[in-house]
Order: sequence, then C-alpha cells, then structure tokens
Amino acid sequence: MCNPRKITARATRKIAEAWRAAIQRTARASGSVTGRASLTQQLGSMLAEPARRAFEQAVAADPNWQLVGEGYVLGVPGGQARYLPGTGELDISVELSAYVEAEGTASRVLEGTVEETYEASAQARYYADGYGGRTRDVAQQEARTLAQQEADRRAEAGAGRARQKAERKAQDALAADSSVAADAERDAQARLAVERERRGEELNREAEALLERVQRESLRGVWQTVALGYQNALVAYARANGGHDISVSRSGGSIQVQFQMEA
Amino acid sequence: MRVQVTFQINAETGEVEIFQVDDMGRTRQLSDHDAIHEDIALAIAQVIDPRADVSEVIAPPGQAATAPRIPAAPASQRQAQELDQGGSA
Repeated sequence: MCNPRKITARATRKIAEAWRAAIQRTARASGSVTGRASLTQQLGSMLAEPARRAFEQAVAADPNWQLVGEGYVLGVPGGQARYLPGTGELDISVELSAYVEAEGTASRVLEGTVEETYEASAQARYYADGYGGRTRDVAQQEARTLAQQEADRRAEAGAGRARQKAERKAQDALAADSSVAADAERDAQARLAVERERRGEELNREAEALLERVQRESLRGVWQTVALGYQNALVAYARANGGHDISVSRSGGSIQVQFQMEA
Repeated sequence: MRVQVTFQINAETGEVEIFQVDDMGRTRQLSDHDAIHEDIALAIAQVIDPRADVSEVIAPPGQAATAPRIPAAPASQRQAQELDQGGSA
C-alpha cells in the first residue's frame, strides 16, 4: 500500500423551471337610472262644458292643486298632474329612479421559464496499487457520483428559489401595470351600462304601470268633482224653477238627485 | 204638467246611470203634451249639457205616462265616453 491519492470530479446540472405570475383587479361602478312615463288627456274634449267648468272651479278651490304658471299642479305618487285651463289638457308624468351598480374585473398572466446551471465537485481517494479495491477508476466513479449528487441537490434547492424570484419580479411588474386597473374600470363601466339599460327598461315599465294607477286615481277625483258639479247645477236649477221635494242621496259610488216641478 | 226628475251619476267612473224626466200623469190629455214634456226634459238636460238630446220611453201597460229619457252612457264604454255621452245626453 502506498500513499493515497485524491481525484476530483465536477458535475453540472441545468434546470429549466417554469414560472407563472397572475394578477386580478376589481373595480366597482355605480350610478342612478330613471324610468319615466307621461300622458296627456284632453279633458276639454272629454267633458261637457258645465262639467269642465265644475272641474275647473273645484281645482281652483282645492289647495292640493297649486297654480303654477298657466296651469294647476297636483302632486301624485312619483310625479305630478298638471291641468291647463287654457287648453283643457291634463298632463300626468311620473318618474322612478333606482341606484345601480356593477363590478368589473381584469386580469393579467405572465409566464416564463428560468434556466440555470448548478455546479458541484467532489473528491475520492484511491491507491496507485489499487489497495483495498480503491483503484483510480473506482475513485473517479465515486467522485463523479458524489459531484453529480451535490449538483442535483443544489439544483433542486436553487430551482425553487429561482422560480420564486422570477415570479416575484413578474408580480411586481404586474402590480405596477396600471392598465390592469384601467381595464377593470372599463369592464365595470361596460357592465354598468348593461345594467342601466336593463333596469331602465324595467323602471319604464314600472312607471307605465304607476302612470295607469295615477291616471285612474286622478280621473276618479275628476269624476267626483264633476258629479258634485252636476248635483249642484241640478239642485240650483230646481230651486230657481219652483222645484220641490228635492232630494240628494248617495248609494255606493253613485249620487242621485230627484225633484219634482211644474212644466 | 208635473214632472219627476231623476238623475243618477256614478261618481267613481263618471257614468250617468239614470237621467229621466217622468210625467206624473195629470196632463196627459193636453194636445201639446208631448211637446211640453220634451221641452221640459230638454231644458233640464241642458243644465248638464247644452248639446243634450232626449228620447221617449213608453211606460209599461197600466201606466199612462211616457218618460223622456236622456240616454245614459253604457257601462261598457270608456269613462271619457261615458261622461261625454252622459253629459251630452
């Protein structure tokens, strides 16, 4: 046996590590939307002259109707009714509003591959005379194996770090990219426009239904006023013309006037 | 001639339900009875509407009177027409 000798072997390991970074931004947009409905009723042509006069006198005396400009305005649920004595037109308009909001999103994805090479070296001993089976070839093989194992270990540990480093860098770049937020905002605005359209149509239908109810209620007031006007006109006529046994009675929604007179 | 006037209006819908001028039956023998009856019916109707028209309703057998009637608007018509027709009856 002679003095041991050393042999050094080097090994390399290349890695190609895939990385992926993603970012998502959310934006909210909101606003109000309005549905409207209106109609014009020609009361002037619907009502006989005495009835129209009776109605106009009642409107003028009713504190609920406010004289505004050339017409009388009455507040109704969701809007107003406006009567114009000059034209005999009754305008009714209602308006319904709602708050709408929408959420928009945008995302970006960055992907890539990081490539790195890891090196390692290892030594092994052998004897020139091959003592104990430690020949140069055996030692060389052992050193190579050890070097490769070390290179693999370093690559395994380094690959994770390399991937994380690449992903952090990409993430920072994405975070600094204001276009993602801008896209999210645009998406939110686009969705809001769709929602406005949908809710607006819904509100228009609701406003039409409300308008029908308001019209019915408003006209009921008109008919009550007109009925009262007829009643007063007939009673006044009866009194002025020697009428007697004058009676006014109400039954359900009807008013009955009766009297007798000599022709 | 004595007449009995009956006017009934639905205050919810504006429909004139009854507008009738009945002859009380004492002057049926007058030669111009119908004209007088129609005149008084028209005068009363015009309290409601100057354009009013009248039509005669023959009383059932056993009753001597005829009753000019101002046509009331049919219930099936729209409110606007009901009142207009009732008013222009």
